[in-house]
Amino acid sequence: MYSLDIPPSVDERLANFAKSSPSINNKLQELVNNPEAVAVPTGKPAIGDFYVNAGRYAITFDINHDNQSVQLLSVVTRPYLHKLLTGKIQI
Amino acid sequence: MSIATLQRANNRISHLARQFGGAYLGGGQKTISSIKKVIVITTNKASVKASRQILDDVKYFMDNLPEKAAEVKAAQIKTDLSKTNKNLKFITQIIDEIYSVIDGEGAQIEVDDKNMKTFISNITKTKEALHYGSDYLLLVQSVMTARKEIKEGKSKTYTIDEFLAKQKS
Repeated sequence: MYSLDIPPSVDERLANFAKSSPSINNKLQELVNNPEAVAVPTGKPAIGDFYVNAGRYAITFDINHDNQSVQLLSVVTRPYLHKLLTGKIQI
Repeated sequence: MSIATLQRANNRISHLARQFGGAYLGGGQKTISSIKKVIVITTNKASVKASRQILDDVKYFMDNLPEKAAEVKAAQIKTDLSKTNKNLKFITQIIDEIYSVIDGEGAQIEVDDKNMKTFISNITKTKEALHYGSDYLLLVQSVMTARKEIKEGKSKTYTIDEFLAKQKS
């Protein structure tokens, strides 16, 4: 079982979004049970090594295996994150 | 440096925008002179060249978007992107007005000028790329902040039960 490492800048957003989207809590439950099973690599470490979809939102995070924690880095809407991950700039 | 390229693009956009100064903007009255002015600017080779240079600079900036936290000068990038978007808004407003003249009043005039087509295309692509870049950098900046907070020991560690209990409290 992993723990959740939540920085202050993420904490408030997470709490607000979790109120309107209970699936965030369900997904966090899955995440701490087995991070590798639900973690999707972003391919862009600057925005977090992994992400997970949770209802209307997506959470980016790093996994720290040394202290068995999941470090939450951002909570954004799914379309917003997916646009950034898949966006191709056609120039 | 990618940020220097963005600044160069900004200067070029500002220069281009200044050329449009005095043309009808913000729903002002359209006159033959103001329409002519916009058409002259958007159909000349110099404008097309400038729009291509702007696009190339923005492309370079996007290709070199800072991936490493240390390379991101958050405040500077925010300022430059804000300036760029403001300038682009100005230019695209003019493009919108060109189309409103072309498509409005039942005129149904087709843009057949190669220079104008290229100019509009370059500016539109530039705007799209900068919107993407702006969103991307905002997320990079917020992740940088979160990682810094974790590194400085400001984050809180919860078990899932503690976290869920916190949500209910």
